[in-house]
Amino acid sequence: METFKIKRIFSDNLGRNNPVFAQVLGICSTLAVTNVMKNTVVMCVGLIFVTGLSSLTVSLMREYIPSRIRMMVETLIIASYVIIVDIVLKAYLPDVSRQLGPYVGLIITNCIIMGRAEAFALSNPPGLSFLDGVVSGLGYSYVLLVIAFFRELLGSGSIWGFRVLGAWWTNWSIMVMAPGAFFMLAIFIWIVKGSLIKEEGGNNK
Amino acid sequence: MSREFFKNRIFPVLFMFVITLVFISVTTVIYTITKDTIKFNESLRLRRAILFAAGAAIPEDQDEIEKIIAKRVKEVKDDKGNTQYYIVYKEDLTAVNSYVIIKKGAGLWGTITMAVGFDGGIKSLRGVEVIDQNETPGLGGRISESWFKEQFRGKKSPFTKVAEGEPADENQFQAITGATFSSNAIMDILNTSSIDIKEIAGDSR
Amino acid sequence: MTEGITFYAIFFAAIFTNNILLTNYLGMCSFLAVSREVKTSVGLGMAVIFVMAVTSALNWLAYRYILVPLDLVYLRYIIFIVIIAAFVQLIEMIIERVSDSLYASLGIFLPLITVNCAILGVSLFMIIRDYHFLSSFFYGLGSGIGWALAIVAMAGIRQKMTRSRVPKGLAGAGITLIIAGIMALAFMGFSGMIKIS
Repeated sequence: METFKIKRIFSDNLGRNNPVFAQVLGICSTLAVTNVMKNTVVMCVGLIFVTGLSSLTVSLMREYIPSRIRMMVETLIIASYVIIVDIVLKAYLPDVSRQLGPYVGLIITNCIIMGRAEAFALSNPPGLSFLDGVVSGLGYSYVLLVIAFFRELLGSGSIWGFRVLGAWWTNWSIMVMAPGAFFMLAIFIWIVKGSLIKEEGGNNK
Repeated sequence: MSREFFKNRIFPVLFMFVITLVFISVTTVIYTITKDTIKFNESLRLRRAILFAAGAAIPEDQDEIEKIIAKRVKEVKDDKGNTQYYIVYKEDLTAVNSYVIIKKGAGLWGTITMAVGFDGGIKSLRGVEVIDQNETPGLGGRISESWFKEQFRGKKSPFTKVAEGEPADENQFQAITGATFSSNAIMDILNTSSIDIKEIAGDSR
Repeated sequence: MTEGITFYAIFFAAIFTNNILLTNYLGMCSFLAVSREVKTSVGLGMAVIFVMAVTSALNWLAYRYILVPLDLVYLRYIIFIVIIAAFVQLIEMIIERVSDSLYASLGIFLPLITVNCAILGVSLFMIIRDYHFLSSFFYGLGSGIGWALAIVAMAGIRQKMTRSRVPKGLAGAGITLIIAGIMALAFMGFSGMIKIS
């Protein structure tokens, strides 16, 4: 039972039910910083931290939370962890914190955190919930990192701030701007979904 | 009946209240612990910015920075006690090395704060540093990159811009492709700084 | 304080050039989920405009007159979220009592709004950008209108699109994102129109 659940956590969050391409959830807050890989990584680490711990906390309190104010309590818990992330970044990584600006605060409204708290943590023990939170954060992060990789490469000709493409490369400014993220994410979803459909078609025959 | 009322109305409110109290206390504790570090980071950042704008060498060690600031930098205040500009003396303290003014201007997303340093004769720029900005990461945010900041050393007002990668004469600087607004904001800040510093520091010489 | 930015410039910029959905990706979740029909999109759009305008004003007041004087700025996320949630709850209760038809058309969208990132986003941005009270209110109003405009336009396109053949892998979220990308491109065309300086 336990191992089955753990397996489910990994396959659900990393595989075909990954929240980003199955339901396009939670991209709001983080998509905006995917034009530079470094910022994306910091955002993702912050997000994993918050999802993990808020799932854990919600799960610990799941028997006491009155259902009427469930959402408000969850939001409060999430907000507190986000504040902690924000303060820690300000104190120990001031440059990154300055770059991310208000986006750290927007982790609060990331639907995935709330979604995991609602769907998983409210009905599962703390240990599993923590794992589920962390893994769903990871599943989300790898999609965003792929997007950030291509946006930075094509948009600025660099990876992690180092120029990798020569002077012959003309930067696609559109990749760094807003529409680029929409197109990149759409293409990514297309490729993943397309291959999933093919796989299923093959199984049916 | 009254038990029911308590369970449905009073308990949720009490619960919310207690939870809010707990989380606010936790975040407050963390904030208090890191408060000094954050303050210290900010003042260190201002000091580094002043030295950078003055074209002075910035030592790695924080104590060394303090020493230089104490020895070579003089803060000039107006009648009301607000800081107007900083005078940075040459290493042997014989003459003025640079006048540094802290200037704010409207960027695309928010206020851009800069330290702008002029030479002793207020003829050309010693250097500029971006202290704070909220421009789009990867686009306008590139005003914080060192190639952008370094190009200003020795430039003379009035400042105008040329396209990124184009050769620039002594009044011109390279703008950032795709970030016209942020580049214009920098141009405005530099031009008003140069007018202001001539007005306030010019006669004190 | 950002000098020289007038509130009507902020208002129009929030609708067109700096559309919170198309340039900051805020409020994507409900945007993708609810944009299937024009009618529901209009309803949600209206609710968002209203809540955004009022909460940005409320949050500004709370920030300026409670958080800053008490040196509690670091608690702003919690306070903002609580104000937004409380306001939405309050409106829901009032609408439920006052008008059944309004409740039927707007009420169902209100719970969705608390978790709409755009609402919190507006409050956070206005603080970071040092807006004055009036500017904040018009920024909230403008962002709401801009968001509503985008979702209604998207719903219109998606309704037409039910008849077109979309590659299987792209159907649903994929094509919606591509349309959003093209819309963002189109909105970038406005960018020369308004100068915020």
